[in-house]
Parts: sequence; structure tokens; C-alpha cells
Amino acid sequence: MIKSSPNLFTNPHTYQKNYYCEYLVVGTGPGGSVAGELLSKNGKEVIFIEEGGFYPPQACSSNIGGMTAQLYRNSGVLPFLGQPSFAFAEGCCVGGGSVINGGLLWRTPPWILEEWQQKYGLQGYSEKDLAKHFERIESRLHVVKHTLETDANLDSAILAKGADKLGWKHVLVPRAVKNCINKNFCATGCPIGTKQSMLETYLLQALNHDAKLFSGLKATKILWKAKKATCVIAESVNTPNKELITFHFDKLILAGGAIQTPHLLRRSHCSKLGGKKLEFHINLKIVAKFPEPIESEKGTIFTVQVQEFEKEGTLFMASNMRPHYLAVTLAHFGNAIIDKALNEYPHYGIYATMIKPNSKARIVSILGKHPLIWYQFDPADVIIIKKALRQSAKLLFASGACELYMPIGGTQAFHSFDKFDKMLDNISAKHLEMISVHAMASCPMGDTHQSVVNQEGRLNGYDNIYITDASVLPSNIGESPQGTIMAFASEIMARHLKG
Amino acid sequence: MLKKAVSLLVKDNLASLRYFQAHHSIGSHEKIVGFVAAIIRRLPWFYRFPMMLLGTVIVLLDAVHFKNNADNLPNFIKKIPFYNMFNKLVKATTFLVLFDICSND
Repeated sequence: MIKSSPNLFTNPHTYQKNYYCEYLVVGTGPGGSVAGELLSKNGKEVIFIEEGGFYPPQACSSNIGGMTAQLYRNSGVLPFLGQPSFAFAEGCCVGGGSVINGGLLWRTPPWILEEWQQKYGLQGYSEKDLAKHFERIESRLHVVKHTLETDANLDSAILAKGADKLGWKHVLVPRAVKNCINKNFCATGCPIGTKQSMLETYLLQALNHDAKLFSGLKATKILWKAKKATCVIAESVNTPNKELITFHFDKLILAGGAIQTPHLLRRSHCSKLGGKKLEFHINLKIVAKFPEPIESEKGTIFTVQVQEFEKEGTLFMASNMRPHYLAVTLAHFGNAIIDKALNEYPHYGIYATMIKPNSKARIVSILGKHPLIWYQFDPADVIIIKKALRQSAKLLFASGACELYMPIGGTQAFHSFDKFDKMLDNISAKHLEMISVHAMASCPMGDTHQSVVNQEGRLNGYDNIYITDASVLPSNIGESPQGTIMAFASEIMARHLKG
Repeated sequence: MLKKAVSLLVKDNLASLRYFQAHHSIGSHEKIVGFVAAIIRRLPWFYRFPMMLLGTVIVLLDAVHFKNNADNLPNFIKKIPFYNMFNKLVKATTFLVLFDICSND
């Protein structure tokens, strides 16, 4: 567990004005951490820069609002503008998304890898090729599957029972945890370090191999000459006086995520294609009331996933439960409903339906150092969403729910599937309450004219810029992307180190 | 002005929430407003400035016409672009911090 390290620097006021290294890694999420660790382990001189702050487990409190403000970009408020607009939640801290996610670690669905091979010409990224990386990652992150307990995670257990009743496929979720004791603080930083984020694993190892990490610095510009990047200008964040630090390097690894990486490239005039298309998942949160108490708060996030419609890109699972999240999810129903739910708290659970939409976003980079994300809602997604909500309602009623509160404005509680089914035909996109937590495919890898990086993860047109985050995935994978990001980062670095 | 606007919306959002009435103490409202306003101030300028502008409009109208009661905001204000987004943001961040503040008080 990182508590401190002589190679970890957290106060931008103490930084030099210039640094020189062999490899600069921008971003310390899963993609950046894997890249930096592999490079440093192979004797390369590595510097990480990270926009967010450093919050080791002992700095993570039970104060949900405060921790959300510290660990997430814009305190969890990053709008995707469109009709309807919705919030995107992205980690912005040392360790990136791995500090605030549920620790799920899936392998890439095989049909997705086949599609990438056929449609985008990917070679060496098949299920067989990536297996060695996944095995190593799963071992390093101590990936285990929860068993269904009798005294915790009852919201997941009840979902599994509902799926059994319908004959729907469900699986125990593989999670990167070591001795998880169900403290249920995954989304605001595991306070005891049992969730195996990058802080506990790859970053720690990288620092032990003499990599240096400077936090509180946002990369704002890449300077380049003759198609070779020469340095990155970084600006201090949340400091009274702005500090500008220049990092000079031989090679640049970009891993700031599917939004920040293409934004930096566009601002630096390194890529016109990067960020032109951004793919994402849509999460629909449903609140369900059960006749018997299920004590959803007792347990961790997502231990069961219903995968009956996985190939359509629709997944169901229990979500994390706290009064905060319950109130936010029920906000559009009004305070009377929130009060009722708080009074009967043990009977309630929050469930997430994740879909893979056709809608695409784009990153607008002309407004300064922060990107604006604009998306076009594809009308076909209303059909996908309605279908997913019908499936969710069927599943939750089969699980024994007596009331459902759906992510649809202007509705009340539903007590039967038939009543909900009838109402659903009348809704349109503007009624939907959506959020997103996964973005990807903004700098897609491949051999097509729309590809931004080549098969080695190198930015087209540049000798020394590589990308190892979710941007390089060629398209939407329809599953939590951390495992795929790490496997791709491993393969990209393996090819690079091989020369 | 922003803090005043946030205060009006927080008050409006929590007025009918019995949980808040039962659990808050002196200073809870100010702590919540401080938290929400700080979040808005840290947003990129292209989100922050429209919200600050809208906040100014809300406060001025409230002061001139409605004697510090956001419940009486006319409907046309709620149709101004960004109002729904602004109120949604205030409401969500209020709920995100409400339970921590009320349990710590």
C-alpha cells in the first residue's frame, strides 16, 4: 500500500521548473499505471504526471460528499450536453478510475475482439493473444469472485434469484479485491486498501522501480517539432499561484482517459481525428422496494451481474447503496418519495442497468484547457433503452420487488410490470434520467482511415507518442473496460519494449 | 450572488424534506450551501459563467419581486436555458452532502 514514497511528490510549489526523463506518462489510471510499471521494471527512466491529488486509503473517510469532491473530476459533475443532458462521473486522482470504481475486472468479450479484428484490422489482439496479459493482471490484482453470502450483498442475491426464476444467465462478478469486508466505500476510495486499485499494485511497483510521480499537475500542451513530441507543459491545479512545469522526454505515453487524452492532442494540434467520436455506456438507475428488508447498504458494490442480454450490450446489477445515492436517484420524484424511502431504508435497493448506446459524443476543444462534451442522441437508443427498462422491470418484479421507481421524469412508483409496460410506450428521450461512467474509443486503434493510433498504440504521424488508455479501444465494448484497458496497455508496451 | 442563488435553491429543495427538518441543526444550511457553491466555482468557465449569470437573475428577481422566497419564482424563470440543469446540479450536490452534514452536526 502506498503511504508515502521518496519518489512521490504532491506539492506543486516544491517542483522544479523543468524535468527530463526517458518516458513521460500522463495519467495514473489503469492504462498509465500499467505502462509506467512495465517501463520502469525494464530499467527505463519514467516520470508520471497526474492532474488529481493523492488519496491513499488512510485519507479516504466516510464523508461521501467530501470524498466525491476530491476524487472525481469536477466533483462528479462532467456534463454530456445534448437532449437530454446527463452527468459523466470520472475519477481524477492518483490511481484514476481504479480508486473510485467497483473493482470489476472483466476480460474483453470474445465477440468484441473478433469484431475489432475484422472491422478495424487488429492483429495480435485476439482472445488468445491477450490471455497471457489477462492472466498476469488477474494475478497481480488478486481478482476473485464473491460468493453469495447470507448476511451481506442481499440485493445482489435477490437479483440472482429473480434471474433464476426467469431462466436468465447471471454470474458472480470478478473483482480486484483482497479480503474485502464489505465496507461499501468503493465509490469514494477504499479506506482499508482491500480494493486492489493502482495505488496498491502497479503504481506502487513503479515507484519501487524508481519511477517518479508528480501529482496536482494538469498537462495542458504538447510541444512538438517535425512530428516528434519534445516536451509537455503542465499547470498546477488547485494552488493559489499557478505553477508551470515543463517535462522533457524521449517518449510520451498518454493515459489521461478517453476524454482528456484526445482533448490534449487537439489543443496541441497533434490530431484532428482524436476526440471526433467518443463512445460511452449509459447507466439507468432504478430504485426497488422489497416487502422484506434487504439491507442493501450491508455489502459491497456489484457482486452479481445478469448477462442474459450481454450480446445486445445490456447488463443488470445491484448498485451501491447509501442514503446519499438513494436521495440523488429519487430526486426527480420529489421530497415526499425521498422521505418515504429514507423511513423504510432497509427495504430499498438501487439497481443499475447499463446499455451500449448507438449515440456518439464528440469533444470540443476550443474553449480552453477543459473539454466540452457534446453528444447526439440517436433515436434508435430510445428503443434500446425501453427494451432494457422492460427487462429490468421484469427482472426486479421476478426478484420480489413490490415497487419500482424508474429513471423516467414525470412518473410515480410502479407496482406491476403491466402498468409499467403500458406507460413506457409514451416516453421519449427527454424524460430519461441517465448517467454515464464509462467512455472510450475516442482515439481508436486500427488500420482504417478513421484510426488515430496504429497497432502499436503509436499516434499516427508521430514517432514518439503512444496512448495506453480507453481512447484506443476501437469501439464500445459493452462491459466495464478496466481489464481491457490494462490488457491493451500491456500489449502496447510489450511490443514497444520488444522494439 | 452565486452563493445567495444557491442558498435560495437549497432552501427550496430542502423545504419539504422532513429528514432535513428533523436532523439539521444551526449551520447545516450554510454548510450545504458552502459545499454546493464551492463545487460550482470549480467548474470550467463555460458551465460556471452561465450559472453565475442565471444565479444573478434569480437573486435579483427574488429580491425585487418575491421577498426572498424561491418558491414563488415565476415559471418563465424555470424555462430559461440552463435553469433545469442548474437546479438539478444544486439538488444532486445537496443530497450528496446532506447526510454527512446532518450526521456530523
